[in-house]
Amino acid sequence: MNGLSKYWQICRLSLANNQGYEFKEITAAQEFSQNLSSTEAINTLLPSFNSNSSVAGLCLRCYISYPILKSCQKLAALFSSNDNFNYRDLLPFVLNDDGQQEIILAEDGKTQLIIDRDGNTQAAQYRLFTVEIVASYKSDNSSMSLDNWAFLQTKQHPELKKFLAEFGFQHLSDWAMLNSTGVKQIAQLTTSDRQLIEVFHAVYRRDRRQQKVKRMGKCPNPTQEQLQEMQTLLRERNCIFPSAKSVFAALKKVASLLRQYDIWSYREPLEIYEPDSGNYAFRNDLPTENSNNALASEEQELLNFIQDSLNKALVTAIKQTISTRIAKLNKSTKYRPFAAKFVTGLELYYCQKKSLGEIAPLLGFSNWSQARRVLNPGDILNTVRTQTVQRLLTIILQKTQNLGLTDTSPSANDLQSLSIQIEAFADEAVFQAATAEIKSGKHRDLQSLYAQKIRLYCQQSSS
Amino acid sequence: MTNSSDHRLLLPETIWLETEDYQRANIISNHVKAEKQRWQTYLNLIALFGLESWLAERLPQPKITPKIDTTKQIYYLQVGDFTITAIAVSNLLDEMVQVSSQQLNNHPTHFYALLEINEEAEEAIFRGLLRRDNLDAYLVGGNAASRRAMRSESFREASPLGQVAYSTPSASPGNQSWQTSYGDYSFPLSWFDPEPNHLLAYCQHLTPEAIALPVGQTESTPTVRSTITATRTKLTQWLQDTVIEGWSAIETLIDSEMNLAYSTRNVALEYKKGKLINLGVELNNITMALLVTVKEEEENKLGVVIQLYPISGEQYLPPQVQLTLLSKAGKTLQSSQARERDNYIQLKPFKGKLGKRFSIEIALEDMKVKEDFEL
Repeated sequence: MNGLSKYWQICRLSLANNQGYEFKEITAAQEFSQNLSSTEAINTLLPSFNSNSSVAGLCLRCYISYPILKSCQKLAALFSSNDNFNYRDLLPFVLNDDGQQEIILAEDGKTQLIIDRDGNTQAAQYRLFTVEIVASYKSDNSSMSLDNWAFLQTKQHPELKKFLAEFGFQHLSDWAMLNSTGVKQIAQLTTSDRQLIEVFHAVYRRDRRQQKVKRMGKCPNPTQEQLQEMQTLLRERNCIFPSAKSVFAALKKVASLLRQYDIWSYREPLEIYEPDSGNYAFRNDLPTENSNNALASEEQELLNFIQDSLNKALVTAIKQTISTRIAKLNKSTKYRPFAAKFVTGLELYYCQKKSLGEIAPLLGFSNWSQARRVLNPGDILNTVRTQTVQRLLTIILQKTQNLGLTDTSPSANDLQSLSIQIEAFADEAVFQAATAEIKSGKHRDLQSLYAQKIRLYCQQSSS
Repeated sequence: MTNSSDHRLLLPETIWLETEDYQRANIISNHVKAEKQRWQTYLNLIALFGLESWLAERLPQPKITPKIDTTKQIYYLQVGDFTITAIAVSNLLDEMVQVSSQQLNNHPTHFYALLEINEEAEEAIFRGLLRRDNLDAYLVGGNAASRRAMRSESFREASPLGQVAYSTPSASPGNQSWQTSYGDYSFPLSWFDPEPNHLLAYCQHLTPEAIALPVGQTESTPTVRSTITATRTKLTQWLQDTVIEGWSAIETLIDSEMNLAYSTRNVALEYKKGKLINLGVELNNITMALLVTVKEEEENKLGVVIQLYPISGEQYLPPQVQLTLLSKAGKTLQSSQARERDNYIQLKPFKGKLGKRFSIEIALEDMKVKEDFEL
């Protein structure tokens, strides 16, 4: 989103597309934001809204909606080691503003008032999260940007936190939960709980490493022997537990405590501060700027060249990725039988649009997670993306060196920014749509260029 | 609405961990003394081996060697002329990355790869990448590229449990201490480049000089061979049923997925109190098991049989692998070398007086591993 468009496009829930959200243009906000200066926009809008300009509020609500979306994606990514939920599950909690109502704040600075067609105000039935964020933001004495405020508020949203507590750690056993507890989490517990975890670590972690040699998989319940050892160690620390069973119960209790999202997320906020300007810069891990036009116009020639190369690189990358996968499966003792079925698996997913859960029994996988390990479309997509980008990078570096545009060995920063540009370009053209469609849950509509190329590969290799 | 790091919000890079990664990590981490550090070392090693195979599958001509020195706590990958440290974390929900000072300072490397290890699910998520030159700039904070700092005063929220025992590094803009009260470092996740693929680009298209390492440290650090310097193992202790960490009882190895090609006929049965031990040996990524059987002899002597076996379902030892008995002074006393298809090799059984020291060396090509013993 470039320039001022972020002040008149609201990100709102959508069931109509794979992403689960859409950007809707708000006409009133668009008209109003014509007069804004891009550098001073927030500072102009905030006081206007506070003096009852509902349309200034609309602009701010549009602006806020994007960091809210990003926060949900970021949060889901931080939890991504499980597939119990994705960012689309988080959106309904916080993206509850469709930009259709005119809202101002009551005198208390909190109550949201709806302005109806006749210009009368009434208290809103439910509170819009965007407005709550703007209302709670204190621009004059705040040490953070509105973006970061929105990010933190989203993380702290009570409903969303409840959801994360329920689904965020679902994939972890109590013992894995206790195992992964670090100094920081322990520091938030009571003294006796701390002792308990430390003793648990001393015994269970030690045995876990040895156990893993024998048998992979979930962390089992601690054995009677381990519990007794913990009981003894606790006694040495003057923590008396009457029985091994009582140690077990106490550990279970701490584990359930650890399932609170707050314990893990707790920290002070991060804001990147620029001492020169006295301002707070955007966090570079929370992208807010569109990079559609990452390649400047003087690089248009290069852009055309990349465009030509992209298709070729994609096809080669697909071929290479699939053959490497098959070769790897052939080498594996455990997964060798699936090497010959790999392309069939892709076919079932991309041509017949079956889910991994449906494919698993068809190909003889013992369970879903085994199928996921072999055939995860996200993994395959990531590898194809990697190969495509690396290929493009190599081609472009050669070309620019031949043209004498760059040195033979670029600097690390130049190489990084060139990589970022190529990634942005390739994502825009291919991988963004491909990712959205495989992330879209049950009703996948696999129409992206990537899906087409995979289908083509399947056809060619079966004919 | 595309930004190159957006992709990683939706599809982070997953590395599937293999049984072998866990085995190797376990064996090496056994050399670390304190359990607290041992678990972190274990996770770091799992991350290192996961990263190793990730790179091997993606670089066109990978020349990757894990460099491991347990005594100096140095663990990194040598990839061509570049060096990479793997930082393992259990989760990043607070968006802070904990790094031990040893990991950061003992042997500075060109890159720091951040991997979130989900030990139970046997997967690692490649969360990001930090170049050493950028890290140093951030740490110093005076440099133009790094005028970033954390604000300490704002948005202080009470911990859900009513205690705020943890203190983040005290901070004022421009003058930042990233060291925590317990000696480790704590960095913001945002310092890390969220796109792991950039590591591939760097390794292929840069020269090592493009990334400045802290002056005076890399040059003087001797090349670390992949040598595991173990503490001396006292064999008499086995007779009292005390087995040093890192050495497993024979049953453990046979039951395990390590599939030790073990058959009773190979171990001299007359040794009454034979204990089997496993020494995972990291030689060109091949893991083997060193079996030592001891029995009490007359006149305060111990009888010892030393054997080397393949594990992890391998039927044969790598050809040319050599097993050598060395005196305390390092003199070769006897040696045995694997041929094309050897299921195991062994040294001639020998006896020695209590207190006598010797070493066993396993060598393959130019890689060597030594294990010290005392009778």
